[in-house]
Amino acid sequence: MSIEAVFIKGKRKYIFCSDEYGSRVLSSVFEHVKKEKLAYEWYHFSAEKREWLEEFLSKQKMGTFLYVVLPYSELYTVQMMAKRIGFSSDETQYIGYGEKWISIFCCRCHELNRAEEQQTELTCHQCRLKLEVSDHYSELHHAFLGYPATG
Amino acid sequence: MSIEPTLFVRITSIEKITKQVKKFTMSSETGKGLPKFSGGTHVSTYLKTRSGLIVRQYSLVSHPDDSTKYEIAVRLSEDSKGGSFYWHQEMKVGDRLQISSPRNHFYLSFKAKHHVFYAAGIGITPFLSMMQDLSAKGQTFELHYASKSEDSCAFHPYIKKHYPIQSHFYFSDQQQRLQITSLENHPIGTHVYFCGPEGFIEQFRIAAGKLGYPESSVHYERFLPTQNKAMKAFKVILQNGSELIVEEKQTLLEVLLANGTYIPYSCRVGRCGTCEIPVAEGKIEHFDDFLSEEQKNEQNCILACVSRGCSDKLVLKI
Amino acid sequence: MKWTGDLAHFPYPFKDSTYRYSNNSIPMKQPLSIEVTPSYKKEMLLKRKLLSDHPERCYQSLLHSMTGQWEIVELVIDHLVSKYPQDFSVKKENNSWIFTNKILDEKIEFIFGEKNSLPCEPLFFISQHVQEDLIYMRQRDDNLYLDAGQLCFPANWSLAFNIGMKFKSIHHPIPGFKEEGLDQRILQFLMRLEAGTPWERLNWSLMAGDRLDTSLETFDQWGRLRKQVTSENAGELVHIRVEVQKLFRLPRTNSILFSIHTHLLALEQLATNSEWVQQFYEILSELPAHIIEYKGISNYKKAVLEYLEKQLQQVKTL
Ligand code: HEM
Ligand SMILES: [Zn+2]
Repeated sequence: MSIEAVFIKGKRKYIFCSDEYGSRVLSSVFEHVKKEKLAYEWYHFSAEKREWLEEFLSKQKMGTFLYVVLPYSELYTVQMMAKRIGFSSDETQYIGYGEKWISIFCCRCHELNRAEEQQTELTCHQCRLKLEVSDHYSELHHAFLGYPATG
Repeated sequence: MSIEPTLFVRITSIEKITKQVKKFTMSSETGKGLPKFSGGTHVSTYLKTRSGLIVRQYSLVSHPDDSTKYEIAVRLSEDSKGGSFYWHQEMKVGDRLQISSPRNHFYLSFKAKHHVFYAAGIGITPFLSMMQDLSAKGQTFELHYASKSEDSCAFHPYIKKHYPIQSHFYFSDQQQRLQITSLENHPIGTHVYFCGPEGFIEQFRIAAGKLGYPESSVHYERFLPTQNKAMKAFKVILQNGSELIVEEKQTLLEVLLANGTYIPYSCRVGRCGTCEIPVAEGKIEHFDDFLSEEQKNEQNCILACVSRGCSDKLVLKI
Repeated sequence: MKWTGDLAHFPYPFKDSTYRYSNNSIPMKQPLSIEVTPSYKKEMLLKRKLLSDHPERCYQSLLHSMTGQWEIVELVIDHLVSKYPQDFSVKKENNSWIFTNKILDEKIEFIFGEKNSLPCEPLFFISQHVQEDLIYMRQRDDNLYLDAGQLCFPANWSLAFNIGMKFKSIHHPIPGFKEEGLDQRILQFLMRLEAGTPWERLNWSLMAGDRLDTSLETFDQWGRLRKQVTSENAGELVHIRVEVQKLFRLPRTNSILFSIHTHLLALEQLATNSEWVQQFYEILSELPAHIIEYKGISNYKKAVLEYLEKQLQQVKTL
């Protein structure tokens, strides 16, 4: 996930999906698209209208590029939705902001534990094993692996 | 150089399906079934002719789950250098030959939400097994198939019967043309597949790129003739300044090891990639099955077990 | 229960006096995915107990792996029957199969390809008859994913966590793998793996204790022993753990079967071969810190080296 939106050239259409804060993050890419007179569409996101977004994204054709800037709390759902519809990682940029929580997969009991992004150690809330947070990531579980803490 | 695993087969029937295309059916000589395969698979066929061994690749057009037989369709090409000519003129029912195990370099995308096939002429062949796979899985697809005429359109009756809704034909003798603008209408998540003459593939590939299709959604297959290799001696220079000659019958790896220059290696047949060496200077002739086309073109590394220098000398970075 | 003592079947893993990560795969001489050793019965009992007591830890599969699972059933049964005809047999009538395991005195009837004809998933079923752990790597687009697996004897990793994971992500924890570009090279090698030409490689590690089931899930039970190694008890307590890993292209789903047969040998048994002791001593003394750390030997490397030195001295004084 990038921090800054990057303009990807050569697409027939650009879609910007964000809330108000996100539109500021996207402004430079948006200016670029306008300057080159490329086709674009804005989708102003709100959590209540998530089904509309699904319908909107499903109508798009090949050659479309999607930018999404949302709080982390919303981003993953939208990401999964876009993937289900058929937007691949080569056709999207996702940028999250705000408070970020990550999941830690307990190596002993497989329970997912919620942790802060910078956290390095925690105790599994289910089996009480002391875990060391690693950078080994599973896309399927959307979680990092917690190894047995040493020492 | 590659290991050529071979299956022993016998031709059990030959059917002329258009003026220029014959379909050959083969079954296993050993009585054991033939391996099942996946949509888009081809085999290499090895023809022992009077003028030498001819190796040609053909897509399997039989059903992927049918292990009793393999079918291929061969078009007699006007400028045939022997491959299709031999198949058409010499091959008889009962003839035996060797083929490779099934290989698939033109496989269906897993993540695609919709598949669209563009075929010109005999380029239809890999799509037949792909469409069988997709219909068995209940996935959606379309076929756009260009041919000179209905008569010369291989598998036309079969396709029309089995995929009446999905298939679209374009016969040039009826002024129907398959246009690249067709690419404009595919929904997000579509993967496109091209097979046909080089010019046809290029035209569609470029058009898809211009529309903004990511490369990962665009698939195509060319059948390249396998090159003959002429083994010549060549010289290499190591970083410590020593010069070594690799004789005609030697490999670079053998010479390095004999010289006490240890490099890691494993398979010795150009497949595992372990004995790769960076090259600073000189032209390399790649004989391996490991590096990608781009990596080969960069001309900056060599697999010592099979590949060779084709300029005076190679300057190695070891 | 002791798992060791099988010198005759021990696949000694070293060829040089240094060890680095590399693609050490070689083409198999005998293309078999399985091997039955004298500890077959004992290991099958253990494996079945683990599978029934801890199904989530030992078995994982994604929905779309079913065709691949059947391919594995076919391949493994083929290999069992052709290599060990006195112990295994199969009768096939169309899709009705009767598989007989004479070692365990079992007879299983099922309809090939029909999930409901077995009490469990096909991969789960066949894995109850072989000592190997069986991993199904599905080719999806340009990558390989761990889409199903039966894993009872892991070397400190979790199948439950790794399910659905890409090849490179699976290997993410290995130090230097990515930095040296090895993960990309090995993936490239695997993508070119062809039906009919299987490959194998050996992986080795050291462990304190003689458990086959060293899952990450149970680390707190077996990892403690690492702290109890001394130069006096190392010969008995420390074991060299070698995995024979085999790679088969599965042509129907264009995917890969990765089978792992784990062998354990106590250092005191390794020591019965003086060349082995010498070579292993050299390797271990020279092994880079990051590999020592990753393999979990840091705590007791010193004790093992002392033990090996003693063995070497004894040889010299003899
Ligand atoms: C395609 C099937 C394969 C699978 C499913 C697989 C899986 C794994 C797993 C789960 C680990 C442990 C990672 C961890 O610590 O969590 C591992 C380690 C490793 N793998 Fe693979 N692997 C495969 C093929 C290969 C191949 C072909 C090579 C070739 C060189 C290879 C080289 C290694 C090495 C060097 C390690 C580190 C082992 C050690 O130091 O003990 N793997 N693999
Ligand atoms: Zn836990």
